[in-house]
Amino acid sequence: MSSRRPSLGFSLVVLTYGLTLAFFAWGLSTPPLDRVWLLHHELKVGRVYKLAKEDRELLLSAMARHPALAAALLPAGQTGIISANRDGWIDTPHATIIRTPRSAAARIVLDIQTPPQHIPYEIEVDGTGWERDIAIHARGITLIDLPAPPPVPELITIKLKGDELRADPSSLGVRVTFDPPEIPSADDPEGDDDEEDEE
Amino acid sequence: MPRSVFRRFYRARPLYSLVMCLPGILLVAWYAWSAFAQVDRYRHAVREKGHIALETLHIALHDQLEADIRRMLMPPPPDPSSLYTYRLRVTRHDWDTLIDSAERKNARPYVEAKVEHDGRMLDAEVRLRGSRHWHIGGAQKSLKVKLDKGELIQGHRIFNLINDPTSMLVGEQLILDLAKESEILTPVSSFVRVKINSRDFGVYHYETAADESLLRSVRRMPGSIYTSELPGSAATEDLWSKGQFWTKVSSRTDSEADKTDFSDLERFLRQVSRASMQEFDDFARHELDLTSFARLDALDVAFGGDQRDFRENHNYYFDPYRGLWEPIAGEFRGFRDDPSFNLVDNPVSLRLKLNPGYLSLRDRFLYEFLIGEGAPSAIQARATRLLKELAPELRTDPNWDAYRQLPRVDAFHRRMVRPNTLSRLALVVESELTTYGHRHAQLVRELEKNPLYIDVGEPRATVSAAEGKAESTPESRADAAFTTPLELIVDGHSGVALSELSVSFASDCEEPRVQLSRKGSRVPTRGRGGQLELESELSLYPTLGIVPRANPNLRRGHVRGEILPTAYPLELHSTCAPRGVLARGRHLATDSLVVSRPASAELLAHLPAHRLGPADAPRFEAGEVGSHPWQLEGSPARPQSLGPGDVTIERTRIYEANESVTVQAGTRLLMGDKASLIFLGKVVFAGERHDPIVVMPLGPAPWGGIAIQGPESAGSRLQHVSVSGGTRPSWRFVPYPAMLNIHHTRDILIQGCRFSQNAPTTDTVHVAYVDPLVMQDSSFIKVVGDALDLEYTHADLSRLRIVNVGDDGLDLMGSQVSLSDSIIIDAEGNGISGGEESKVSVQNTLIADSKVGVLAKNAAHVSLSGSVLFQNGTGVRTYQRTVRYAGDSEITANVLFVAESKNAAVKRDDQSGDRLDRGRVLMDLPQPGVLDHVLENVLELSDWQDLGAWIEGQREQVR
Repeated sequence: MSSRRPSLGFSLVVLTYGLTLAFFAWGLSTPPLDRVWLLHHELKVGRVYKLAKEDRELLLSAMARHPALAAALLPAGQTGIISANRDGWIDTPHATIIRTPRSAAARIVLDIQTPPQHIPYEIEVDGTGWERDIAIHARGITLIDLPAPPPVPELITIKLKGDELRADPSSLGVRVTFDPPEIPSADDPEGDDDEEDEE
Repeated sequence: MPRSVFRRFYRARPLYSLVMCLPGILLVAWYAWSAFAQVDRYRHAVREKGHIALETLHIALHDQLEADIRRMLMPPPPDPSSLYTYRLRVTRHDWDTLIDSAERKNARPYVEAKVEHDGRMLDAEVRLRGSRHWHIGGAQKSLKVKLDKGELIQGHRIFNLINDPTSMLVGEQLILDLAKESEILTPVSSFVRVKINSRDFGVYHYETAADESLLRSVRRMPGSIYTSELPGSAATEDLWSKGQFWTKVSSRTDSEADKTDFSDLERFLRQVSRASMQEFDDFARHELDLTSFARLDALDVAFGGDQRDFRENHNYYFDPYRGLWEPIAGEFRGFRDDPSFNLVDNPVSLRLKLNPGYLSLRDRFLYEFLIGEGAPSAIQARATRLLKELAPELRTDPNWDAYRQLPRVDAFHRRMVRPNTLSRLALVVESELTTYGHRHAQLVRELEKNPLYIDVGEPRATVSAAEGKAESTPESRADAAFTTPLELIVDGHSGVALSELSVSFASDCEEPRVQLSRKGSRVPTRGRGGQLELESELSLYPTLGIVPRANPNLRRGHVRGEILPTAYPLELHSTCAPRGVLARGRHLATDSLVVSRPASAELLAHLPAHRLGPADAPRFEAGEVGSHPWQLEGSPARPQSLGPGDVTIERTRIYEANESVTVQAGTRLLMGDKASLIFLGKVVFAGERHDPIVVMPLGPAPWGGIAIQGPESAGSRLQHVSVSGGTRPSWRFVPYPAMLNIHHTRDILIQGCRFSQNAPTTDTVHVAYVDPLVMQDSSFIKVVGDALDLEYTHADLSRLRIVNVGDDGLDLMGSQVSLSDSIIIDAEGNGISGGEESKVSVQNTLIADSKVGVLAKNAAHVSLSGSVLFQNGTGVRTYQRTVRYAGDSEITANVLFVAESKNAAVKRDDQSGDRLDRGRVLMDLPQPGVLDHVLENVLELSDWQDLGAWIEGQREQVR
């Protein structure tokens, strides 16, 4: 038997059930947009703050596929923080920023109000094809010049590298804003997508 | 053997292998087709064009597989369910009719159904409700249920069972609960479980309509309820100018005339769309329940609600006896973050915010809410409580799904309904509460900002040094040498109640004296030197401007309101030139002390140059700014006195809420033809037993009536007043039914009064929404209509004498009344008519010669003790007349004598026996030694056998 090749029928069965398994494996795998939705909420509430490499790639590819996605993930405007923050004061040592191709932001403005005992420390800022390292020696404003926005939405990560820094806004004391400032729209169309029509 | 099987399999022929492949192929085909069909149905429902993306099919397949796995592993539903379970029975044919009607947008047919409740099967009609795909597209259909007339479940005949598509699920319920707790009229809603023909359809949202059932459930008078129904083709302005785009879902009475009378709505719309600033201010102060409007507005602001826009989701109720319009809550889609306070405006909210003081009231409620029940931790606790209750039900809900479970890449993905799970729900709730936390922090920060600024002008010498004489010498500033203009500027939310000014002078100014004036009049102050303490706070309100919206649409409109700085000009008169001025006041939202800061040039430049005048009507156009609050100020409060002696009232007089009135003992109020007295503030009729007050017609024509109306009239007194010959007052839209009307107030005393000979078709005394009313030693003699009509009132009545009444002696609705030591004789209707959930306690009272002695109807409870019902047509009667109150009426007695009834001692519609619910009826007059107090002190008799003659004597006196 070992010397004989499998029949066409056997190959057909193996192939069919292989494809069947692949079909169900594909079906059971999390759809990219579903994962983006989950990530969006997890980042917002601080459950996730350090994007895994695959999540970062998934987010980038989804934003490239769906031009409206990047702006939809932002609370307002064309540049903004999508990880946990309150009015720009970041909750976690890793902050994730989305910048759309329409962004006018030329600089990231870091308002450093970290408790003095946690200073000095370093901040690493990563974008698509660029990186900045900044040493923080004192409280105050730090400006980070941004290159021109790429043609597809960009993920920018700000990493605070200090041994004492915890995922606690009072420990971090860093506010991230943009120059020129992103003015939140007073007329966000959020509500449009679920208008009710009742009798 | 296995080896042989494997060999045969290994060497299988193509035909056999095809058979072996078939299950796999069918399984794949089934799921692939299901996923495709699901997407296709959805695309058809939302009219999506274009090709189906593989990514979308992947989502549909994933959802299908997940839902099937979830169903396979699902435990059985909790038994018994912690939620109320609606069990419906629908025949297969009717169910098919129901499903087939999904495609129809209008006039969907009702089908017959049975609803199980309390072991009974109630007849009902059911139809599909809603046109969105989540209502009709899935297994869980949204339904409208209408029980047969006369049937109620939890007080409601008509209700909706809604497949709630929101991913947060508990969000709207949470806000509705808060609205209800804030005493905003809020339709009843909750979560329930639904079973149809024994099949579990899962968890539904139970919603009742904003109709008369709502009013009854919150103990409010039936009145007009209007709900906006603007079709998409109509212009937005039409909603606010024509009654035809509103549906009247409730009216004061069931008469056709009332149901078709839209005059109250038309007045409301006219005020909103066309009234001048002054007219609307008057309307708002007298005819709007500003507290309810402000509380609902505060909730919309807190949660970022945007449903009450220019076109949709407006429900208003006009309470006839409070004479006030109120909003009805509903349709909250909250948990939005946005820099604006109001995400959308509408003509009503804009008019309110343009009116002085409303914003301060709203923001005060908002702040109280945000630091209390609306604090993020409190909201989180509520959400957790709701979810804990729902979790076991949702876990076993076979049809649980929700939209907004994909990023907002487009409406198609955003509205796609997908299976939900507890872990997804928990994530969404946490995310929405995070958003709420951000909004909360932003709102609190804005509200706590100090809005008070000051701009001090150059001091001007008012005594000419050269000529040595004063430029002007009003008494208020006789010794002033300098006049300094100053402007207090409010820039921000809420406003300030100014309480004091600190004025500093150069050190060489000895014993400086300062006075403050406004528009040339002195502002009363206390204090010495440069310290001025205002005798009463001076309210400095913010004002609203109308600005264009950034992204207008039909629903959101083209404009929105924006708070603008408001300057309040004052003058300081001082003996020396001031070097600096500091103002202090109370923040109107937070009650914190605020201290003025110098106004910047930028702020001064931002002050509006033009404002609407008191006679201008806003047109809701960008650039309009509300009138300056001081332009719309009313006259200051002052006490009024009438009498003693004859006082002729030829025309109706209205005493405003800030005018307290005393009618002196010995006053005769001679009332002209149809003239009425309307007291919106406190009134004291200070008659004395030997020097009473008389209110009577001036000539042969009947006068109007007396109304004591509104919360500011609390504490009013009528002592030793004789009122006769009146009809009913007329004021605004309040349908006063009686000669004396006391509505919507507290702490009222009527003592030693006599009411008689009111005009036909009127009642004598009508009391509604009063807590408490104390009435003692008063009589109603020869009156038409009801003698004393109490609605939603707590009353303590004693020593009343009611003789010869055109209808009921006491007519009670939704009231709690204690009656003692009283006599009711010759009522053509009922001696006491207890209706609509009234609770009545009658003690030591005689009711005689009336059609019915005591009537209990519509879930009323009457307790009789130590009383005698004598020679009435029917002694005691109970029945259930209307369909709006669930539950039976009840009459109980301790010692009750029902003697010589002409028809029946006890007549009940609900059971055959002529007995009471508790206690027993004694069928003759009391024997000697029993009820001596009634005999000797109330009737002033010595023998019960003299009762018949005594009653005849009373009747004779009246004749």
